[in-house]
Amino acid sequence: MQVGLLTLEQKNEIAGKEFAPDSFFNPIQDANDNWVISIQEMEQATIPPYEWVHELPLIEYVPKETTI
Amino acid sequence: MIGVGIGLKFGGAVTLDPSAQAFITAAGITDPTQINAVNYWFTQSKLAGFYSKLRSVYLLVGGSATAHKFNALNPLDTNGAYRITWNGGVTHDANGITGNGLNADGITYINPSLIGSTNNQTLGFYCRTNNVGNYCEMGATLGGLYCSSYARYTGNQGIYDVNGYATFVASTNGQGMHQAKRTSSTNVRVLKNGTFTNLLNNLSVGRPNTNIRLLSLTGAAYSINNISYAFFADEMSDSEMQAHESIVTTYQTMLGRNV
Repeated sequence: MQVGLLTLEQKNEIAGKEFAPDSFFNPIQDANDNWVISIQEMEQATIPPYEWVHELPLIEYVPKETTI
Repeated sequence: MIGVGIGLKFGGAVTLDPSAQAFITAAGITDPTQINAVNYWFTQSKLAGFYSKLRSVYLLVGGSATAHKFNALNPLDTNGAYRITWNGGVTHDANGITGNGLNADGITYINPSLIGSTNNQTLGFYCRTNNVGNYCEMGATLGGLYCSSYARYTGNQGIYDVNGYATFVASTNGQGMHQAKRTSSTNVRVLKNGTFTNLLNNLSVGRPNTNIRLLSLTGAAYSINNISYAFFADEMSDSEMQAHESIVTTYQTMLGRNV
């Protein structure tokens, strides 16, 4: 899947912030330690001043390995 | 269907259950079909006798993050009322909530270690989709302790883990109502779409001291499934679980989203 690529500064700016009513950004790191957010967050962001996430560059998501 | 469209009529208007009214007001629900379905859930759940055992219920009706966040049993906008905080890219619509498999979940503030007791808890959800993979529909884990459930993990099996070790139940379809309860220090009992399964020798090892999330296992195993109901409760009897399943199924049917 494609995701939006953030700089570290951008990640710090949006982490935990409300991007739409009762919805909060949740940046995560991929396998290459890039900070990324989902297409849904990019598309749904309506609360200022975070509309700039609509224009984030897209990369292909490579997940970190996880186990249960 | 049991008691579809229940409501007392006075002067042509339907009188809502007061708990239903409180939830409807908090969630801002105005659609008559949704109001009728919500009222049905409240009235039937109280009549069935298990209502007092419920700790949190997410009716996931209204189609928005705001409407979906409220605990039906206590619709206050506080963590203590088990109001959900939505993280990441959850999709909210008329069918409930859908995960993205990446970073989307909802923190319920239900901490299994702070409610009830280890061997007397029940959790579950209604799943509308049939995706197979490392997708946790609701769960909490910390320090090797788990309270969680997966509709359909890899290898065609559901996972039901109520304060013990992950226990697998064969499943080729994750759709429908899933309920799992721990009944003792050695037994978990699952009801899925009318069929009970005993998970014997499933030792309870303790409760994770962290909040249950919908659509993930504490920020991992993010689901891509569509969930239209979720709950956490004290231990429910077999007949209560059966009544619960019937009521929730009818509730989904009234909303046009049963599977």
